[in-house]
Amino acid sequence: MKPYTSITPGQLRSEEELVKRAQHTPEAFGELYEIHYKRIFNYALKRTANVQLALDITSVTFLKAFSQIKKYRWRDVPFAAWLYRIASNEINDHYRREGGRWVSSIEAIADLADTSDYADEINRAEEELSRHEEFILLHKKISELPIIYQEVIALKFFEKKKIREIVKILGKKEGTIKSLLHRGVEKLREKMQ
Amino acid sequence: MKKEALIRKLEKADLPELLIVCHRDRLRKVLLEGAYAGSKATGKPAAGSPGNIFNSLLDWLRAPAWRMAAASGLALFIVAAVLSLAFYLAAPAPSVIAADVVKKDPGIQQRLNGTGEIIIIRVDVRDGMASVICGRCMGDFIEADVDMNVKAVVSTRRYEGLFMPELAQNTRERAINIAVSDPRVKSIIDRGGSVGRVFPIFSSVSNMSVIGGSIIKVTPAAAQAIVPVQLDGKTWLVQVNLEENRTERIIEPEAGSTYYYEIFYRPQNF
Repeated sequence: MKPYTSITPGQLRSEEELVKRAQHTPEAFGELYEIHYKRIFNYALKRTANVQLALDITSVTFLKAFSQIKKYRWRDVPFAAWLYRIASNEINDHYRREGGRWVSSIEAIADLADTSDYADEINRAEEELSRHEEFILLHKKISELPIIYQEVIALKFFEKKKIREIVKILGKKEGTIKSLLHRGVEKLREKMQ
Repeated sequence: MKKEALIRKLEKADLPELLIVCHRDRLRKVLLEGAYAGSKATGKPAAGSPGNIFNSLLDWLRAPAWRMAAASGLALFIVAAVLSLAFYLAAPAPSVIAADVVKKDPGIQQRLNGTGEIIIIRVDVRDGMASVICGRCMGDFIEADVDMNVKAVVSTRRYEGLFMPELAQNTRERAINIAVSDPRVKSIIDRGGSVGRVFPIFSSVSNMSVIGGSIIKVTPAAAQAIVPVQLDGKTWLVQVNLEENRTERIIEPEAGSTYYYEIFYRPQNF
């Protein structure tokens, strides 16, 4: 998956038009959803190393994006940055709440009851995830860090974002991001000893 | 460990890259069919209803009281019931009604044999009739005509697997070569196994379009295919990634191939 800033100025204009249409038509929101679903799910997966939790966070992210799309103001920043920010906030909230599960109820509400094929697909995904042993070990150590460090490390190294992209996603100054990254890696190194 | 080594480790980590197709499709359906139901009826966004409903829903679900109640199955049931009611109170559009009629039709449920929820792919409502195309997460599709006056399915047409796109000969051969290069597949072939009809994996039912009301075009997913390998009455399904020239996974006969087998080889029965 290409980093979202690989978007050219022309593509950015197209995305701006699509976002503006999405503020009025469901089909356009559906297009945005199709473009960004996998990216957001995998970001949540890399932050949580938990398939079901990543699905829940993805659900909430898009529900929130949908509910707020009319208020969204285009600022020449790729739409993905906004989704990343929503997802990051959801993940951080989740960890602050010590893992309270809230979204499963949304699935129940939305008649997303488990069916055998759905359950099978999740089982297969969990099996696939379990094969990434190196990632799981890294995640375990990263998850012991304060959330703010987890966030920048995941965006930098797992999502392959540049500093200026992380700046846009987290809405912090460049110096702050660099500092967080530096300290986060240092703390992670200590934990890896 | 030195900092540079750690950074290299982080940069080179083998990261998971997954997709849960059923979840993606269902969430899309929830977002577009459920939340936009009110707007479709009027042709413009409903007066604040979808956003407000979801905001209220999210806020409520995050309240401490809810978190405590979430532990109880009863609470789940109540919340599901209340919010289902909220969706229905949002004045369903004709397209939503037509979709609902189709999903509840016993004949459709029977004909779309297999497992999983029925997914509505496309609904066209015109002159008191609705044309609804539906299917399950994978498999065949049915186009149903719904009489909106009596809210009943009056006729159906089923599109069998033959509407799935054929792979080009060279692509098919490449898929087989990738599959057979996997030692597990090779051992089946070496024991006398044979390769069945190779199919592309389609990315999503939402990527289909109807041409002239009778032909379904399926857009294949990002270059992935299923290579069935058969031996002694059993079928292994090898999912290959044609872009990355690797086997994604092998579905063992006892681990779900019956499901896929139904899709790929089920005889046409009506």
